[in-house]
Amino acid sequence: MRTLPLFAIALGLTVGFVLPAFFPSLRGSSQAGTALRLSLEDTFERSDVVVEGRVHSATSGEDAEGLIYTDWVLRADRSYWGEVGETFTVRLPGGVLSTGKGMVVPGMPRLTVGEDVVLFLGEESPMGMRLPTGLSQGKFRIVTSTSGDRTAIQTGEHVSLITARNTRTADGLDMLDYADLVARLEAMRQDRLTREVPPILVDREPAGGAATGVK
Amino acid sequence: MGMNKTHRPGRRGMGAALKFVAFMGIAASVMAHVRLRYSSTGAPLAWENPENISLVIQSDGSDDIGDGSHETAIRNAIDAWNSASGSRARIVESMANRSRRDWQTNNVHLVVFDENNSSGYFSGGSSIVAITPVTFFTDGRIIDADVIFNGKNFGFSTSGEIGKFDIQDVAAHELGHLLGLDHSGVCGATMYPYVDPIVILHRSLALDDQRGMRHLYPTGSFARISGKITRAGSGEVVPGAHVAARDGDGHIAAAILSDANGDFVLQGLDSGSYEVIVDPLDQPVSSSNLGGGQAIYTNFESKVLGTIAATQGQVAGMGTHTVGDDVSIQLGRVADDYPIRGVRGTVNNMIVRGSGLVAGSTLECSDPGIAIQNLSWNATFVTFEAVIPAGTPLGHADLIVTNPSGDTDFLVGGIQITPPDPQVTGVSPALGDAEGGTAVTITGSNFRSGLRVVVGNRIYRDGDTGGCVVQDSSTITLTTDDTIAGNHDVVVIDPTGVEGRRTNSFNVVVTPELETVFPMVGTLAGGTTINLTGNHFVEGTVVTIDGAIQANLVIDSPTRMRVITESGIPGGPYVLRVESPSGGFAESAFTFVDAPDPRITMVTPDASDMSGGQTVAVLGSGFGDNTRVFFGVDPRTGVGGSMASTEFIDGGQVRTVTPASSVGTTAVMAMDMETGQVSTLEAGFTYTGQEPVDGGGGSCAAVIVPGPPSWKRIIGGGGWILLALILGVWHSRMVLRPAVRAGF
Ligand SMILES: [Zn+2]
Repeated sequence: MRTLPLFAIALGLTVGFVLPAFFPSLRGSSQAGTALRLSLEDTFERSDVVVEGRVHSATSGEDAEGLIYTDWVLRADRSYWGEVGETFTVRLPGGVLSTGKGMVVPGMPRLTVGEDVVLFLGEESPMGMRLPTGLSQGKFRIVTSTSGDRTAIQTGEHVSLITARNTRTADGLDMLDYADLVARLEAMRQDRLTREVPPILVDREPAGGAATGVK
Repeated sequence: MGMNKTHRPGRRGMGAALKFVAFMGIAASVMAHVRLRYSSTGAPLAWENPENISLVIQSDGSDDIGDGSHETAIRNAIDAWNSASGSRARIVESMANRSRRDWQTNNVHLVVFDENNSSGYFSGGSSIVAITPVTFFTDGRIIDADVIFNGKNFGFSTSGEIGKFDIQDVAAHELGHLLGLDHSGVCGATMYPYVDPIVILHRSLALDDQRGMRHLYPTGSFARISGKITRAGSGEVVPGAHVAARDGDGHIAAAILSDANGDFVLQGLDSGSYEVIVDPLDQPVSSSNLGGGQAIYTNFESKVLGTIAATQGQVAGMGTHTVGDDVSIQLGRVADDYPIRGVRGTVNNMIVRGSGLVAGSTLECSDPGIAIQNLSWNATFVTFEAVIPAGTPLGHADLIVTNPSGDTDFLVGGIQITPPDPQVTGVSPALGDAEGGTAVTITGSNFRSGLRVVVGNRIYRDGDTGGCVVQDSSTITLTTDDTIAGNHDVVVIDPTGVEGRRTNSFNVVVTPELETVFPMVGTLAGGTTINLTGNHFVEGTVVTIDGAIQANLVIDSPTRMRVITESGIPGGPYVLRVESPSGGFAESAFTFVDAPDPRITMVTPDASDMSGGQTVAVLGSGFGDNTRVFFGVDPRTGVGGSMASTEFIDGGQVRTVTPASSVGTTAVMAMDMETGQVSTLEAGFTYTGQEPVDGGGGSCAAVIVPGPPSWKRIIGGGGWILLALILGVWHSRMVLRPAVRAGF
């Protein structure tokens, strides 16, 4: 899988005209904080659903054409875009069936039952899938540090945070104060509400039958 | 899952970068390179029979590519992986099932361009350029993988068009996934997770990618280097540490991640001495770019572990090395395009983003022959010049940054040293036959052994039978294979992926074929539209009648063109010749007569019932006693239709009675039965009414009894035109040659 770094696109549009004359490879800014803000906004604007919650359960299945997917059921705490109910089911490609057959899509962010996440999801495909916007950029994992502060990080599911200080703006793509993230998403939501009506999303029944859960 | 381990904050707390610790519980051995895994068990994925992995390039191709060059690009990408030294894996293109699009099915492995989100992966404003779903069994066997390009949201190119993605570059990356590789932390690797338009350096595999193949599918036993990473002080192991080996040139020879126990084994090395380094996998590649199945720690310093000799077939043990806490300096960001290209024999302006890049820091290249100068430190980025001598070995080198406190970070494999672009200045001859066999000499500069030449849909690889020969750095020779027609770019692709191109420099021409010429008679005043059908009508085709060039020529498609005649000398049939730019030609006949062509301007009424019998006035000019009206002919060939009874009123009008027909709009043609001159009004008349409907179910519910055939039907097809000509044109001065003759 190959993705376009979303914030690179945004940067290229906004500040790319300053230095490239001297450095053709330069498309970004010295202001990493600017990059982060653009990234998050771009991710938000491109999303059909932005929802926060705890991953409650997962069930894999196979559609009529042979595509293996997993329905991830979220206990939704809140939504930043798109009206969702108490539970919200996200169908992502990939998973493992009881037959031992599975599918993986390199680059796709993974969810784990029990983790707290903010998901930025694209439009639903005809097969009912919603892909994370910008793939790994469309998932924040919410973790609590030893000091009790909550932080949102974009990273693999096997990682949790223990400390986070000082260089976070420079390393912004990876890490945000949770409170910052929530505040900014709320501001983006209110801004977008002046232009658009968020979709109302009806939860679907997750796949059932012969499929088994994935861990 | 296991317990959540914690770690005390680093002493360099003010500058601490990302501080993570992993949930443990995955004891899988993490060997060389980053492999795709079944995340629940960590089982690595691989093909059971890698010697013959069938792949089908779906025949619809890309909406962006009209000349089939996407197939060439994909084949070049296949070739890159098949050529990895020490690998048993071979992707074998299958020409069967090329029309299938059911990539979900396990028994066909497709490369497909999805132009309308039929895959479901590219809904809305998707940012996915291409994707490769891999199907496996939980024991690790890959049973299917398909590459899907997002043609809906992105443009693709094989010729460096601005804003489009290079198909060969993207395909090379996706095929790495298909083979079982995950993303790589080596910035210059083909498996680097990000791509930008026009980037082509991932076309060529980095050594890291090739070592991945040696690890998954080795042909033999290679040199290995093992060791263990632990944390200074606590002695805790460091899982997921990015360990890399630099060869004697300071270039990246292999990279791996340490396993859950902090152990690493660098695989697939050639014998030699290596400097081994460790670096946290944070930016620009991080664990978010990797599949599951392994823990990734990033809260430690970058460090040189030492230098060690490795021997073929043996494991050189480095023992345990400790790393300190994370530091406040970091090099490399997702926003940078990697690898950064450094051209041999030039001074290269470069910029690298990061953090803590403060004045007083130093920047070096791991290749000691490359000097770094004119640095400008800007905290979050540094600009500099890299002076790369002409003789610098090719490959990927690291950048090494050290701040005034002595903290250091590596950008692993961030610079790719390439030769200058090949330059193609001449292609001789510039013309060839589609059947091939043309000996071509390409002149230019910077030609190196191992290169490929692409002409149209054909690849010529240096040294292969039927390939090309690099005679010297300025001359390549080859003999063409059969090639699709068209004026093609000649592209020279260096083994590093950089290319030189001469646009529209080799014209592959096939001999045109003529099927129909309609009409074959026109007024000497000129202005008659002749419709020609056949094959291989290409840009630059010339049509002559009796040697006179017919300048007013429109090529609608390779199978259809139109000529509006110049004025001519009465007589004929003259030779009508269709000649391709290369001189191949086909011939038919055309006659000029000393009378104006008939011309239909209006049919009134222009619609009536399908049962026929409607009296219709046909208005226009040039009508005579011999004018007859036809309904339903093919206006391009004159074939088909029915002649209607026709009554001559005056030169501007004939009256006719419609024959029965099926429902629909048809052409109306007026023909002078003596001379053969015609005028056709496309969509001139509409038959209305209701078609008889099959009662449904029965296999032979109705048998339609045909009416008595017209004389036109009796002689069939277009032959009646010929008959009309023979009847009307008695004064032929030369033998009519309706049969098409071809020559070259
Ligand atoms: Zn990828």
